[in-house]
Amino acid sequence: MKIKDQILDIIFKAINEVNLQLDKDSQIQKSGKTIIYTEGEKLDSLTILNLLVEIEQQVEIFFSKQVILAGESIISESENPLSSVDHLADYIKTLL
Amino acid sequence: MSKNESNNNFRGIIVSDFNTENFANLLRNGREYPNIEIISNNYDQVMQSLLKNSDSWKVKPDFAVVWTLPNNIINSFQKLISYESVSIESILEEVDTFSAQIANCCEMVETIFVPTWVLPYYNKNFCLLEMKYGSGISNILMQMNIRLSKNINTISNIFVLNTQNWLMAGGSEACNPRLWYSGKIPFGNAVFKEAAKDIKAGLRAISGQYAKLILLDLDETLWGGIVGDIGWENIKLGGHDPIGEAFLDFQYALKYLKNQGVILGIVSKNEETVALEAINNHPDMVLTINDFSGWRINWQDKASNIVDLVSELNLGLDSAVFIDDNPVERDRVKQTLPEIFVPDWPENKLLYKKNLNELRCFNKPPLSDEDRFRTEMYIDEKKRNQLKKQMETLDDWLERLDINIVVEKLKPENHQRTIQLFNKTNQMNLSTRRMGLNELLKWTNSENHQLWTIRVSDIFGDSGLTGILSLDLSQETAKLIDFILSCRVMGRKVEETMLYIAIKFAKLAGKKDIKADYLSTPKNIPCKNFFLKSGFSHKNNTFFWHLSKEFIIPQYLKIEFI
Repeated sequence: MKIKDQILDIIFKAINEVNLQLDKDSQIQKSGKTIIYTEGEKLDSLTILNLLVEIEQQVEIFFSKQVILAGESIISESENPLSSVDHLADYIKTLL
Repeated sequence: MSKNESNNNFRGIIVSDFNTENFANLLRNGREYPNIEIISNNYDQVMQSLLKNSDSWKVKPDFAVVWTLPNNIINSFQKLISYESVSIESILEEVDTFSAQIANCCEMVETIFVPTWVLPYYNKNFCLLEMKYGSGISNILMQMNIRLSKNINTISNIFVLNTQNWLMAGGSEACNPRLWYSGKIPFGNAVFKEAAKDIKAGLRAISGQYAKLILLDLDETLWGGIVGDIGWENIKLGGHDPIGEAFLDFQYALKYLKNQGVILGIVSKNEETVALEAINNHPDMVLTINDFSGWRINWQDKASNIVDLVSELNLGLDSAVFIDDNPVERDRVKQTLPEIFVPDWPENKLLYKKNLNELRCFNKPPLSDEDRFRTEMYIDEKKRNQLKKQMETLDDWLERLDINIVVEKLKPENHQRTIQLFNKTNQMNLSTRRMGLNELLKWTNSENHQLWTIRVSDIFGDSGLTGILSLDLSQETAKLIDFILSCRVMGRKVEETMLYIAIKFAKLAGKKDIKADYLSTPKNIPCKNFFLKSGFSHKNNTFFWHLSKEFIIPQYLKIEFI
């Protein structure tokens, strides 16, 4: 399995966890195209925090590497890593 | 519990000094029964929310969770963790004030859950003195929790829950500084998930939805190996063997549940004599034959054996849990008897006890005497049935039983059992009113409402508090509101005696008639059938008796009014 696929797998597992807290209508789709945070469209702030923390934890377990996603700095990246799940996976890959 | 029976929703509030949105969402959106609606979970207004006139109670929640952090709610403790000099007395004084505030709310809501105080690991500072009595932070935190639980110990609708269990289940994900600093959330979702499971189990227990009976397979379930093949001397149980020890531990866990009032039964494909020989002779058997209220050990289909045994024990299928290591047997029972709870069972024997403890279906409110001696009561019942077979008529049998019926007003020591009967009795239940203690006490406090509890005993033993009778005397015609009798004593003319008692009290109150409105549920047809045969006249589902007419019961029934 390629690293990017492994990261996507981790993100989807994190989405599963976060979805446990969300009602049927607010479930996050497990797709590379799912938007996390953009100017026009975004998940609610607590959901984003939960998702990023969950991903951080799983990345640490899987890759034995601490990454910091849940913070202001991620939004100030030139290419917004949160614009989609796919972009987030690419961003995490650069941190490993 | 005063919840909306039609949608089985519980409405709750969370009173907290941290962000509980994740916890509230898990309670709201969890698939496990019951459904929960969290009406409010604002944080940082704990003391205001706990005032009697607070808006929190205006929404009439069924339950409240009061979950706080020790360093937020107890100022002196915050000073302590900042290494300021604080006396243990001043900390405990604050704990007393806080507990009094919680206790003050016990009439505002049916149930209050109070998770114990913990400090997230990143707030702890390991040192040699952490557990020093009277000054170490962890030691003082323990004393605070003990003081809190002691202060509210006598209040029957406040339950202190062990947060430490949730933290242990959360492991390394129990606390995450990122969640705290970014969202004022001190615990990870692993902790909230466990907490939500316990709150739901608590609500099920309080509303009478707990399992009463565990039906157990034997080979590879209660011990290792096939006893019919290897003989009882060679089964794996106890000894210096991890699997044997795991079975031993599993039996201890079952024994604990039995002592808590859960009935044990055996449903096993085996030769009965061989299986009983193992139970009676193996030196490491923790469970003795007297721990089992009944068994079906034969080569017949397990589903039909279960139906037979559950019926003998006079219980409903929905109160039983079936534990079997064999997935084929489990599946067969699941398909045939969907009412029975058949948990998935691990292949790994070392996980049996853990799996049993995680079922969360045996939780129940504080034990009543009836719970403690339930197995003994079922053994007494067997003796009654043996005597019945020797008697020619029902009256001969009942006369020999020498039944004694004690009628008394509701007393504090009977509160828990009365609530249990209200919320658990299905068959002989006239109106199936489900309610919590506060609601019941409010109802009985009315001048025109009278409620009596009924205890039944006979030559074989005491069946305990098994009946409830209540009357509304506000109108010209007395109205029978509650007519509840445990199925344990049904068919022994206790029903007739209860009507006799209701008529007697209605007469004493100067009434001329008594009526009873039967409210139909899928399970209380036996109650309707009894009223149809009682001699009461009826129109549709309302039954009448003119009090000028004597209601006669057999003379061998002894009644004591206390």
